[in-house]
Amino acid sequence: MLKDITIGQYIPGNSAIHQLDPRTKIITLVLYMVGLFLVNNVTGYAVVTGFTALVILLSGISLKIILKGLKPLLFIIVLTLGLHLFMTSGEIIWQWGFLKITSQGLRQGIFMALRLIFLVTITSLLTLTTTPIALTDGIEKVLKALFIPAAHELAMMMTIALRFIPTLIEETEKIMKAQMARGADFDTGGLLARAKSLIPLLVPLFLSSFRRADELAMAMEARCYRGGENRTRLKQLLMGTRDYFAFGITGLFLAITIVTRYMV
Amino acid sequence: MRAREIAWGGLLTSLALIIPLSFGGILGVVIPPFSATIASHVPVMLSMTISPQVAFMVAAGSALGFLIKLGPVIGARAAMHIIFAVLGAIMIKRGFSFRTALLATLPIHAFSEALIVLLFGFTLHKAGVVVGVGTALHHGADGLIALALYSSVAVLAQKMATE
Repeated sequence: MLKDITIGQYIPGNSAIHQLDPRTKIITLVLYMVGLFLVNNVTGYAVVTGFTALVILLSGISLKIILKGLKPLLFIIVLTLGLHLFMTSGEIIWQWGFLKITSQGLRQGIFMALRLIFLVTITSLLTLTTTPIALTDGIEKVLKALFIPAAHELAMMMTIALRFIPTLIEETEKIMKAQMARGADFDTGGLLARAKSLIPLLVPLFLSSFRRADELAMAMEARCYRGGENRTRLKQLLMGTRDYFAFGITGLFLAITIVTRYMV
Repeated sequence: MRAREIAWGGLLTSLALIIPLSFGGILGVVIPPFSATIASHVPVMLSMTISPQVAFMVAAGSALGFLIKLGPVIGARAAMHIIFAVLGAIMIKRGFSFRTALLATLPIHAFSEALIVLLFGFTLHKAGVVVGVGTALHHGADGLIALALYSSVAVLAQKMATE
């Protein structure tokens, strides 16, 4: 069962979106979010929908995968839609008992639901088209550019965390099987019983993790790791023509959203 | 920052990501719109005993990890752990016990998570209350587990403190 866990959501590909520098994707994602929260009318949402569809097409990721990512949010989306439908005042277009739907509520509900859907879709697209390590690299560069202290340490910690996820999952599985071989039962009983049965799993897992951390720290120091300053990088991040083109397109998108909000 | 703290922080971040992903089926609790996995806060809580910097890193790292893996709503809720993790770590640094720090940060944790979900369409007061109360109970359960684990690994922590 643990093997079924997808480590990250990266889907290998050679599309235009895959090949963008991770910094480009992070920055354009932020610009997209600004645009998404600026639009407040039909024209604006049409622009956002078109832009989102364009990015999805360019990425080569199938729609099925994107919809799968939206499934956990289905309840929240329906809740948002429902709240706006029934609780916004205005011109009533349908009524049954105390339930009534207003045109303003319908419009606002659809807008809010679309906003949620697009937000999750584009964020998922970022992780689907970028390897976790490249994403961590990009995040470090962006944080440094914003003068955030300890950017390197945060990025290094993320890199270590991502690297050790499969190792610790394997360790978890081994410990689980070893304890089950000795009679431990993780599946039956109420929530309290299950939480209690986790102690023989969590204690050795944490202990082995701490031991592993100590060994890793010793190895890093033995290889002359002294922090982020004066370090070189195995793979340099380089922006190319397509990155500047992507910035241009996103800038245009943002300009259009501003126009639709304030001048239409 | 020392390599040891980075390594410890990295491993704890890894565990913070693995526990919900691995044990969601066993320990998952879903009361829509609230969802949680028992024990998922334990790595962040343990990071409080190391230092405020590591607590910040583990909470921020797990938030980034959740954003990458599970999307913005859960990522935003996880980002709120930064607040209680750093405050708890500062308390411990000033001599309070781990248990006291866990109790003091419970309301902060619950309140901050309830607030953040309002940005994602939880416009109803009830949704905020459900998430807030659920988080408080979740924090309590994980606090007990963290205390049990902490006493078990106290020897290791002591060893680290003396090096």
